[in-house]
Amino acid sequence: MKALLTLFTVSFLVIQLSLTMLNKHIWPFCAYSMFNRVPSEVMVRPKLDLILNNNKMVTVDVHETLPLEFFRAMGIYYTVYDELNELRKKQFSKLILKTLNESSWNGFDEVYKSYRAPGGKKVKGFSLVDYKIDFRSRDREVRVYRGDVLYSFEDRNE
Amino acid sequence: MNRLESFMFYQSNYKQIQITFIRMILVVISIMMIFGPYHELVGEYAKIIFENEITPWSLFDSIIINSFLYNIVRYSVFVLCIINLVWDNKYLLLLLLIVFTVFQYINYSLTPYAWNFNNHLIFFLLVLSFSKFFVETRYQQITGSFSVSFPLLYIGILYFQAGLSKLIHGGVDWVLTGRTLRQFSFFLGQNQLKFLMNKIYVSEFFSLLTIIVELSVIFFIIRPNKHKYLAILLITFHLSIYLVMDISFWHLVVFYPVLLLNSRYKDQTMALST
Repeated sequence: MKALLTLFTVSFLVIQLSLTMLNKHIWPFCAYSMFNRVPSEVMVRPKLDLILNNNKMVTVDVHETLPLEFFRAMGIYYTVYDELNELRKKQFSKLILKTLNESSWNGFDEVYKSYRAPGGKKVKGFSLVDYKIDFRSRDREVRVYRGDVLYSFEDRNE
Repeated sequence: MNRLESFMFYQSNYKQIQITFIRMILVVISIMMIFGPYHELVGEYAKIIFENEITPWSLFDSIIINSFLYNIVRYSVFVLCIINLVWDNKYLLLLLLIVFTVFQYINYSLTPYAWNFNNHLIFFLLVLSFSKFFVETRYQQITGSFSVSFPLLYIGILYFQAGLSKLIHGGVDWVLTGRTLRQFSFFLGQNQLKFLMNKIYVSEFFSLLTIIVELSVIFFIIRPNKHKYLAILLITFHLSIYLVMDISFWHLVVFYPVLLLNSRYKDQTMALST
């Protein structure tokens, strides 16, 4: 029994450490590679510029629009708008608007609370934009610039 | 080798901790089911992402795009958690392990490139279920002890991996620039404390401290007389991360009082003589 359990433990350790070296995950094993990179001093982060039905614009993080952990929300956005066809992009965009207007959830650990439009207003469209966040300034002030628009969608019925 | 062998197979108080451990896991899982990230909308999004890409053998992907099947799995986990809370039965625990593993895989398959943060629950349940089948056999001491020592070892390795990964893939710059902590605190922090990290010497100091803590946990883990200090260190470590980055790692931290404040092992020779 000891030999069996030792073999299990050693195999587990070898797999886990190998994945860390390779920076890969093979479910259910995990590299535990969280925050292991040194980011560029000018980071690009996708955000949504939401258009409300009074034509005002609000910028929110993508993780405020999906009921998932923040790191998964960003990945899903990139998957959909980088890899899927136009029809899927539209379906996904409609679902995002439906979620923002009809569902809400509270924050829980790495899931952030949903964005709610103020005063019962509705979200009628959005642009997915790569924002550039510049950490280089000497006064340690962080500067945020609006970058490329990756995708825009508007629901004409709202 | 004696120290490791004693650590793995001769934890002296495993019986008491085993019961507590089961309850803790089930409670944690139940909470995740109700309040956690596993939202019913997962299925709606999965339908768009996976539609037309389902292959005959991707059974799990088929479940995630079918809200009915997804919810059956989801609520089965919840029901099994509740049953296991009140009924200590090895077959029910094994069933929970199987259904929970399926559920975890389904959720993982939505974003397979993303780190699946609660895999440790599967492994903890696995060793616990395994040990249940050897209660009142001659292997009871060894498997019971292992159901406590393996999670401890897992925790030690997890931190070691996290530290090693930063050194390998981030390099010394990870420590010297303090940029990762500074910039991600800016994005993720929800309160004013995150601006502490904006001071370069603070982020550098905490980056160095992070690497030291992560790489050293494993050495404390195999020394049970140091566990209470380790518990204080890790809880302080995670509280600090929570204050500046809003990440609690609660799904692991909840195990620390049970695992680290109860762990001790018998001297191997004494255990063998009894």
